[in-house]
Amino acid sequence: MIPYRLMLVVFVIAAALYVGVGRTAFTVPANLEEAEACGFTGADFAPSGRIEMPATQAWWTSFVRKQEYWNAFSAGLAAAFAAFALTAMRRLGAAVAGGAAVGGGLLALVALCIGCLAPVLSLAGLGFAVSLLAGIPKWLLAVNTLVLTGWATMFMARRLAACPVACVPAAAH
Amino acid sequence: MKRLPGGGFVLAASLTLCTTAASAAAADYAVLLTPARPGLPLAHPIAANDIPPPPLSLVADRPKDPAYVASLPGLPQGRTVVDDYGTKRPKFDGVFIRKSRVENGQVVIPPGGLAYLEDTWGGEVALKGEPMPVLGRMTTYVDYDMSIVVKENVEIPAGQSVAVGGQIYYYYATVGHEQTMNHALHVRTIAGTDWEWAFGNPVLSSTQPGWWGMRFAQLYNQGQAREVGPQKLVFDWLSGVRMDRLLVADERVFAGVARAGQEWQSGTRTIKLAAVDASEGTVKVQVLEGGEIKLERTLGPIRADRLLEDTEARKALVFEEGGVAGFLVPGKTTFRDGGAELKIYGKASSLRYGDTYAGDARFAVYPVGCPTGHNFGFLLVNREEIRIAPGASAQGPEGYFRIAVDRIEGGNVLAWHVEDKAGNRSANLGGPAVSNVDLVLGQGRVAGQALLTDVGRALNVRNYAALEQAQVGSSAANGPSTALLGGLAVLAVALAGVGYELGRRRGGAAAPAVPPAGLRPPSPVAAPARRERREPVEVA
Repeated sequence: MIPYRLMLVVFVIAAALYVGVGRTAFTVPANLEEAEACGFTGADFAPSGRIEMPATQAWWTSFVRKQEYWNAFSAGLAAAFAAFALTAMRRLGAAVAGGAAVGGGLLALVALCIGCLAPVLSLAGLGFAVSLLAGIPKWLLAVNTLVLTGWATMFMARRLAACPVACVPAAAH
Repeated sequence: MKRLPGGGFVLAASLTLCTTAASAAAADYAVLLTPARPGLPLAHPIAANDIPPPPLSLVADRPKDPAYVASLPGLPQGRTVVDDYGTKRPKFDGVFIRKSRVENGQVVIPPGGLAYLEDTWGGEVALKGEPMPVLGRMTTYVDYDMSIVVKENVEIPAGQSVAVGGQIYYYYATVGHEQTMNHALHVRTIAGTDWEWAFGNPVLSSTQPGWWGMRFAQLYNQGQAREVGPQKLVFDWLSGVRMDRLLVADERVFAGVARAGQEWQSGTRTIKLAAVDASEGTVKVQVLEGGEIKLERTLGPIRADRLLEDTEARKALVFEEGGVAGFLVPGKTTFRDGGAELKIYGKASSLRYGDTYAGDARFAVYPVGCPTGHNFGFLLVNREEIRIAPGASAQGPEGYFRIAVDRIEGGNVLAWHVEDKAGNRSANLGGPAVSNVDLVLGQGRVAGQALLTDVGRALNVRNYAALEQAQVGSSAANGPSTALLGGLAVLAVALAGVGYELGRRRGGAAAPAVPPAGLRPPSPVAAPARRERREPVEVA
């Protein structure tokens, strides 16, 4: 009942998209304040007063130090679950599946709030969420996402198992 | 080893620095000082006059319980420069604050209390085309003037220090053995550079003649003691080199082999190579302005056995006139291809010992000399007292850095920081037990090494206390935060949900739930299964 292949593909695409957008949006910090926000310290600055790393190396350094891999994992999980929920919409009804999909979307948003897009979200008025989530370790958010999406997936799978496609019209009789 | 007591402020009056060698006596000292080998003249002339060292140069004036800042992006550490011969030399920016205090709700830094040091890991050598950073601007170090200051009847009380030229002699320790003893000096520069790594420390003794004597020589830093004891050292004379002037240039006009008649332009000046005489090993250089000859010099011949440090031999190769400077490049192939190898520079200027710094009149400049004749950077120190009110800042030379005071309360500086030109700030260096803004910033030979001999203990104690306070504050303030507790609560709920779902599945496997009648699948495949479940089970 659980479309594992679809979820795996969506997971990989979403996680890769998160990483790709992060790399595309990344620019090597020009001053200490920006650098600290990206996980760099004063020691990373070359004597010229700049971070003299190739952009990709600087991004990877920031990615690892900021533990962005947890966010990529969370975003992938949330997107995979949302995809599952959307495919189940016809059988479970728009309310249940739509709610589940929105829940998945919210989990993905949480990943973005604590990730490299946090500054953009702050500008978009989500600064409160960003600061609220800042106190939670990224690994815990990833574990929470895993367990929440796992729970929701099991719940929906059970509902689907109890309600085969063909029975919906029968229930109307 | 016993470290000697003392460390109080050394008053000039407490020392008997009777006379600086007058020019009349210069010839005597030129003979009295020991050359590197018999027959070799002294490389630097004897100074005709004394020039006071920068204020607060003595060991007792070191920063007190200073804050330490390793670096800021705008104050580079370990920036490597390469001279014309491929020699690499790391350069460091250093900033020191000493003798600062809080007075009437303001931070006060006395004259000389704020010092910027262009520091270098190896000696800077003239005539090599070595880049020398001046507050971030890269110039070329061209030439220098160095002299040897000699003082007579110098007394150094135990634990105190005295300046001779650009050198600081510090009576550091007495070491006893049976009824004999020896006495150790540290020799530093006005910036704090410790020559121990280069020459060792002079040790004197009148009771251990088998091991030590009453005289020492570290190149041209030399001394003749007449009385040595645990209370004081008294010298007939002490000498110390002083870097009187650095000649640096912002513009490279020419470097290469030039032929007679060749000309170059720098600003309004024309530099002309008037003649080349390879047989004599000389060239004639003219500097002209508006057709008028401002300078005509014959450069050479090259005295390879005394270069590069011997003043007479070096000056024979160098010309300098109105912002233009250059030299005949010493080497085995200087004269070739019908010409001679020259280097010519424009926009040349001097950093002269004790002068006002041309780039910022609030500061005085002091080049730092090594007795080899090499240079170890230069100091820029504030000439007037600096006062900083809370919320205000003091600019370093040319605004290269700022000292900002954020909050003062009850005589303590609760918050202050240093920031670079671009506004990159250090961490907060203040605190409830911080009563000054004394500072050591940098990782060069002085800030990262020599000065730590004097202030490293206090600096580490302060830094560890700050670290402890930060950690305690951090754990107390954060604890398990509300957000973290919320995250754990969500995890608990989610785990409970998963557990419920697993329970349902396990229960379903043992006794599968019967779908309500309305949800029965119409599939014929499903029907028998349903029927089977409804049939009563007979138990034997």
